[in-house]
Amino acid sequence: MARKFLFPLLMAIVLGLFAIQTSMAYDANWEETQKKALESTGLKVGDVVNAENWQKVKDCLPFSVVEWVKKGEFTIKVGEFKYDHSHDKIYEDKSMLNDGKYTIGDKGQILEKGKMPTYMWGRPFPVIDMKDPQAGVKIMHNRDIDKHRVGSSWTDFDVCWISDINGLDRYIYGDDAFFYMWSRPDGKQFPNPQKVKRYEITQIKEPYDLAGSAMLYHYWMDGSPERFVQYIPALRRIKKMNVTDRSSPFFGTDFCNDDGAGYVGQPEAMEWKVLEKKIYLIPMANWLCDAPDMYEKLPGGGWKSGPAGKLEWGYLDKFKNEKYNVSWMPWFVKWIPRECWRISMKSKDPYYAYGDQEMIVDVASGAPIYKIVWDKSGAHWKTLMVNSDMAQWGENRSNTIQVFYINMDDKTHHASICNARGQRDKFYFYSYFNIPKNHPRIYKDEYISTMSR
Amino acid sequence: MRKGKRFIFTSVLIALLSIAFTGTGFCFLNLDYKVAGHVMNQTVIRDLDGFQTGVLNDTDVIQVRNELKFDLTMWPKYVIEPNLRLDKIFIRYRGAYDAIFDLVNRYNQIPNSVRGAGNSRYDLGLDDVIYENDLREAFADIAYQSSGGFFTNMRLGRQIVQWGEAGLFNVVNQVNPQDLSIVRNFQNPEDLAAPIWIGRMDISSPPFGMFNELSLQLLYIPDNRPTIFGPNYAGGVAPYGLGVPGLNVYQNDVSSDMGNPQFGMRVGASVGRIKTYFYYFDGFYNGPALNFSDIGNGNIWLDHPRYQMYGVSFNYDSPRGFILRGEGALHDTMPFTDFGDPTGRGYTGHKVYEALIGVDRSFFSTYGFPGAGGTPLSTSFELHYKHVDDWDYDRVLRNGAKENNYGATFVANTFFMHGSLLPIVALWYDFHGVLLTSLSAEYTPNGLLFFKMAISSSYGNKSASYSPIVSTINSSEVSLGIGYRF
Repeated sequence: MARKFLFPLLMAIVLGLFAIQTSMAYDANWEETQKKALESTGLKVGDVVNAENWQKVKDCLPFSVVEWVKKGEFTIKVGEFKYDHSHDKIYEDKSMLNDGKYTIGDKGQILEKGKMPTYMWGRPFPVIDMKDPQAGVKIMHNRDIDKHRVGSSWTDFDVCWISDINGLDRYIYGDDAFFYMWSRPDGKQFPNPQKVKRYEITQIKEPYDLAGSAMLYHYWMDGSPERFVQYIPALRRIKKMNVTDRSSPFFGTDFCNDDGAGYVGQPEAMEWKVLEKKIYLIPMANWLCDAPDMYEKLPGGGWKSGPAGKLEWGYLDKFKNEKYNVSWMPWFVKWIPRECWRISMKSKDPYYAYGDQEMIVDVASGAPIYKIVWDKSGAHWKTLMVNSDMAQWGENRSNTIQVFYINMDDKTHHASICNARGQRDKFYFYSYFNIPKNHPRIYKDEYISTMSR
Repeated sequence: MRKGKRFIFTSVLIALLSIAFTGTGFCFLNLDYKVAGHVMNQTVIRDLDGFQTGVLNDTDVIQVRNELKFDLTMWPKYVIEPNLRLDKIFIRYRGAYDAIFDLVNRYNQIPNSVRGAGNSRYDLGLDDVIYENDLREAFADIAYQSSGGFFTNMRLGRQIVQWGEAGLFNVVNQVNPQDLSIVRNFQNPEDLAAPIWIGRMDISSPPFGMFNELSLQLLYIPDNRPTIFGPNYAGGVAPYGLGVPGLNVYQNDVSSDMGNPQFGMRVGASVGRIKTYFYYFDGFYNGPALNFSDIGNGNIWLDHPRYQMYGVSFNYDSPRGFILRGEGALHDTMPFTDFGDPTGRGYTGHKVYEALIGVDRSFFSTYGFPGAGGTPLSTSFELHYKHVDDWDYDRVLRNGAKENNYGATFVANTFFMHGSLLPIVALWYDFHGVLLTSLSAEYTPNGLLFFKMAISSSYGNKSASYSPIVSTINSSEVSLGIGYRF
């Protein structure tokens, strides 16, 4: 009788220990972890999966991506990392000091002893309990803070409209700059009376009719809806935009404003719920499989991204004869098995354009990998796929920038791609951390109104 | 004008040279630059009696304009960015040839080379509307960033400054005049504005206390340019002339020199979700005051009296999903046509109070739109009120305005085909009984090649002479455009 009781108890304890684990990253045994993940999928490094053997990946990709493989649009080449694809140990150690320090408020915001913290260093929730109903929002807060630790970033990017028939239809090209007020790399605070969590400026440089447009966002520490203004050069004016425009298409692309890097909105704006933890194949640019992106120090201050490869998409002529291809197939990536969170998300805003959503998040790096979107009628609509850039600058290693992300509209069979590292045609996309010109003084209405004409 | 230009040129040159020799790591040869622009053709068909009396039943082609427009932007490359630096140089060129004047002979009686014959430089001749060769904008930005978080930008040169929150009304937007010699309303606003020489300084503060940002903009404007119309002479009237056949219309503009510059100031404050600006402008009325004192000789003069404007604007983004915005202004004297004017000019000056309130709201329709789900329908609604002080409407002597005037506008836009097709609907209802409508659409298959179509027509009470848009009832237009961006 006692044995009968003891066995389930032991099982429950073991399972509980698995469920409650550090959300952190650095893993001294990363090679063994990777090997086990690969074994669990039944795949081998070098395997090629396409419409002929799609069943091999049916349990380790989101259902919509499996459909693409099954239809013969995607070819999956299985790969592996040659390094620990996660944050550095110093960051983990600092983050662990935060264990138990912060809680989640009724609006999903971070609290410290019941009050809004004005500063924090390291992940606020280094230990995640899957059974915790607030585990989802904690994971997303951790992700936010992971991005903050670079201090500031300035990135070239483009967004391409891709159709199945024509390939690359058109593109916009510009800059995206962030300045983070929490978890800065030097541990120092900036004067912040308005309690801004982070600033963002997106500036469009091409094509001619949109060149000079600039968007400025203030994200607040308390998680309240952000401030969003846009400079419209044809009007020569700043126009205040509404928070509901977060789900509005970005310049008519398949992305909405919130889709940046998977999800760039406030964690507090969504209801999150962890559904499960399982092994998924995550897309990774070839050049990031062997080593992280090695940033070089700049003489004037700050860091510049290292060498990167070519962004070779399926619309290029060289892939026209590939049997299993579609215009938005990323031929320059390998697919690596990783342990991920599957989290459901739903906007608290009744006017938000998306219905239910699911986010797949890499446990170790904290980076969003996939986002599945349903419309408000419950029909599947879009699949967002993200490849984050694991950056190494000095002793620090983290992923705040993306190599690319795709938003595939499964209803209209159309996709938009954002390229942010590497080379596409005439564009070479660089990233910079902590360069002197990226300072809070530029995140102002008056500044963005003089950035162009 | 020439003195003003010289002053601006000299200032820019001295500033650039000073910065060039003091800025750390700067080299004039080390510039990034970018050239981008478009070529386009626009053909305009005018219904000469308006759609109200039959759609396209009495038409003329009035414009076949071929345009080249491009921007050259240059940025100095710094190894170490100095606090005081030359930030950018921007040049915009626009050149055009309108073939309609060679294709038809109905405009042949419009005089040529008017500007070189002792008239105002803004009295256009036939040559001025056939060809355009214009360095529209040319300015340099000199930036200074302080360690305290203040940012200062000095923009010197020919430029456009737009004030306020309003869409189709100009309540506080008084700085740049409009160039109506080749285009009509509902064109790109920056193409409608006439750039002028301005010395402009913008200072913005770091956040402090309750303020996200405080800002100050100062304008010194030695360039006194009026609203520009197409040629209007007894011999002939160009398509975008003032529309007074049988008379000569001449500009009586104020000379541009150091003796009578215009000034502008704007103070901004941003608190939470509210942004407010206060404005002061001391300048010359761009829009014309019709001076009839020389009517005996067949001439109308366009006067531009000096006035002052005190204004305010605000915007508020509600967490409930809409933007509320507004403007208010007091113009200490604005001219209105008054045939009872004892001086014989035919106009008198009056205080004018204006107020505007607007709401912007986006609606999503996940179903039913082709091309992309979740396409938003963006809408704007504005209500405008204008009060003319000490004004007694008279059907014969003072019929150009009423004491109290109300107008409303509605603008909606969306997109189809993943942003390739952009339709816009704009309506302007004047409560005196006139409705102006504009439907336009732009299609671009690849972002470079583009096609445009716009239809502008007005309907209502033709005898409402006091409506600001009544004259548009008699001339509806359809414009077709094709172009390529580079």
